[in-house]
Amino acid sequence: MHALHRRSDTWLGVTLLLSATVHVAAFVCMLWLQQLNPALDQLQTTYYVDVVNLPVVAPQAGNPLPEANATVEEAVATAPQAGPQKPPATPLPASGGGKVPPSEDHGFQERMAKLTAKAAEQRQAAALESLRAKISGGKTGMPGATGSQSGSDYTAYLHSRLKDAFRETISYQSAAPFAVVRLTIDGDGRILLTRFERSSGDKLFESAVQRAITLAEQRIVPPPGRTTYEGTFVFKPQGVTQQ
Amino acid sequence: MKRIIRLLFGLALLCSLTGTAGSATYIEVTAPGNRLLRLAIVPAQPLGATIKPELANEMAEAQVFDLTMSGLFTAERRDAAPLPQGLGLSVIDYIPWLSAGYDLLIRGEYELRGDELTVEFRLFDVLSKRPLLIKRYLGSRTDLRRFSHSFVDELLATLAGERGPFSSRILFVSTQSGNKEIFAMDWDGHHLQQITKSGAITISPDVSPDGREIIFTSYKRGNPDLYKRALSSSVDVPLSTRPGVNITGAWSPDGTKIALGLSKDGNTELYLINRDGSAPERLTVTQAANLSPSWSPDGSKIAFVSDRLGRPHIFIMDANGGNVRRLTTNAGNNFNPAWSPKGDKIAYTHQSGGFQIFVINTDGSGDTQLTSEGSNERPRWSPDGRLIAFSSKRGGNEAIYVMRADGSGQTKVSRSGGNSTHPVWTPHH
Amino acid sequence: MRKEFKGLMVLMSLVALMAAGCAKEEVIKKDEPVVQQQTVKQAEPVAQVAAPPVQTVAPVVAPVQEQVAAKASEAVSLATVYFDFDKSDLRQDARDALSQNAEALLKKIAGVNIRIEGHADERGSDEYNMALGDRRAKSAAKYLTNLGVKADRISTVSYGEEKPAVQGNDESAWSKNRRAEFLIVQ
Repeated sequence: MHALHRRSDTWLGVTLLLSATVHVAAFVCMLWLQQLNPALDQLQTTYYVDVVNLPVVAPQAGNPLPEANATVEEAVATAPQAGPQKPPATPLPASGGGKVPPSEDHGFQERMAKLTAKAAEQRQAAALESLRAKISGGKTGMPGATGSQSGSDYTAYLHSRLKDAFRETISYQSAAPFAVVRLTIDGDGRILLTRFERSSGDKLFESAVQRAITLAEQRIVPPPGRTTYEGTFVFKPQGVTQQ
Repeated sequence: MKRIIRLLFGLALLCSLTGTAGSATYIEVTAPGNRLLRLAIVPAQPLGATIKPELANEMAEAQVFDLTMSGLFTAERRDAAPLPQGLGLSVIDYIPWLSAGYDLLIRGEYELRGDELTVEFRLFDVLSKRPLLIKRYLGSRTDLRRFSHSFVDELLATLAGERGPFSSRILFVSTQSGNKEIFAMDWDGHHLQQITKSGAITISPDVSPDGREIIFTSYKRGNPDLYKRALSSSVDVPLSTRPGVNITGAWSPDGTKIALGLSKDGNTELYLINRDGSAPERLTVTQAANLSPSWSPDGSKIAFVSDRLGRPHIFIMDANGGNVRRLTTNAGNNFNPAWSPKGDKIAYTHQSGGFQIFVINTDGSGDTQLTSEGSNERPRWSPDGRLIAFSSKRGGNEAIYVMRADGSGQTKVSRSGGNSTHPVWTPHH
Repeated sequence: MRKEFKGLMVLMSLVALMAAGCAKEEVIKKDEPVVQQQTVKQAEPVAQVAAPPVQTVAPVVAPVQEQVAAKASEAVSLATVYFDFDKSDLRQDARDALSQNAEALLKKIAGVNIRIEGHADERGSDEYNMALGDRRAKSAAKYLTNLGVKADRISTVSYGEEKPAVQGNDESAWSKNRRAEFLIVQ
């Protein structure tokens, strides 16, 4: 009896140890693989927040999630209006062109706001419920956010708009250009200030960034709560490493 | 055992932490690729009574070629209805250009009165719907290509931060008139002009930094001597007529000195002389040939050719002759170093079998072959460093070609007869 | 047996861990040593010059002798001497020709001055070939003065590749163009 006990004890120990070492080895292998693949790391440094699954930094303060959804719908809805033009040409602001009346801009925003509010009411409950179910821990919102920022999901939204626009304008003449840009967006979703805080000095690249911002501005919705938004973005070519 | 496992986990955690630490606190916006800006050029519209579409077309074609060679644009000539109220008063409808995918638009207008030509060019940003650059040029009808090039140079300054090289001319040696003489042409081969008419072998032109004077080696007195001439004059001033060779003169960037190869003391060595030819100061002391100096843009260093180790290689030394180091380490022969205007690279001719143009970083790294078709020699950088002119023999005669600094876009530009070699750009004015 | 297996597993996991831990360091280190290899040879090793040129040419002797024979009949003709590729030192046939030239200069035409023209084939840059022609002319001049011809009777000029004796892009043309010619000037 005694002997049997002892024997099963060692068996247990051995299996536990085996299992532990195998797991650790597997874990370490995965870590190693990740480290061997720095390009992957590079590509993933951006915070692309899945607007369907993640709430704001301070969930109790706003209703950003459905709003973001509404944005997508709105973009889809406005697209056919402008006719069969190429995407960059679609939401032209009124200045100079003469085709689009100046009031359109305003009406667009009003409709946007309405849609936003409506969609928000409808989906807030459901979305928050599903979120609660999905995320059991306290970690929600932007990584590193403190919960006091004005809507970090708006940052994610802007990021996605800027990234889309940047794809269409990117152009540079130096080896590893970058530009750090601080954007101030007013409550109407217009860019009040574009400040180049730092830049590698490639003027062609800077102008590509400026063009991307101009292009993105034509498509963005106002920040949540129509408050002024400030955010800093680093523009650089994909796959180019900086020292 | 537990302790080991805990240690392992601890280490693993540390590993994963260091792996992800340092992630951006900023939001990164990245995009793949590097697109060329699309630019539409509408031939200039007439302003007065004289309508000369060929003038407008020639200006547009010249600009399309310049912009294409700059490597930053896809430039296309596009016809469009003239603006009813002229360039100054009409409102540009950007939408068709935007929907056609253009980023930029050049429109212009010209007025020809007798031989007097007035041209205005405007560059528009199609996206932000505003003019970026407006320039008005006054001159004669023969200036129209100069106006076109000048506007593209300004355009590059506006969009890319540095003036283009297209107002520069290229001096070169041609056998069009029989013996080798020095000629000049626009960078794209137009406006050919014979500079020297010495009737003797004349080679190796170099232009002073202010663009007003040239130096060259000529046999007009029987010996290869160095001469100077103002581009506005036809008088050759002998600068160095020392016994032996007086070859490969190169102006220092500040214009006060000339580095050259002299064999007055035996083999060919590098010397510095004043711009009036006086006070030779010896830079190299070897038993070999030392020649073809090329100054670094700050004037502190000189790249040159020496066969002191057997084969001719490119070396770099301080401008006072100190700190000699070998730059090229390949197995062939190496000639004609040309220091880039940015100072980071040296283009040269490499010979193993045929001649090809290479470019190498000044620290000896990044040795890259730029040409492979035919035989190619004597690279010379455009003043902005975007282009390299060289002489090439690709069947038929040797001719002057121009390529981008990365070797792309190799295009024959000289239209002169005979063999054309020894290109050198005039500086920005 | 079990113990061995256990030990093996621990060893494996340790190796895996170390590999993972080191992976990053290795990647970083690979970039560095590039800089170090740039130590540059200075001018001293003259001995290296002895490396033989790409092409060494034998069949030049015959034309030289023909020319010498032909020119000897005219009292005031001097033999051309030929060189190896990228070389200015004198081959045996060149020394023989120079000896005959020196003899003529010291006896038959003792009163004249000569100019030695140094030439190169078309390979190499124009200017490098000028320096090479200069060396060839001076090399010939020095040999003549060593044989007793007064230095002030001799002048030299290099034409580099500018005045080929024979047109052509092959060795038979090149070998005839790598030469020093002797012209009577007074």
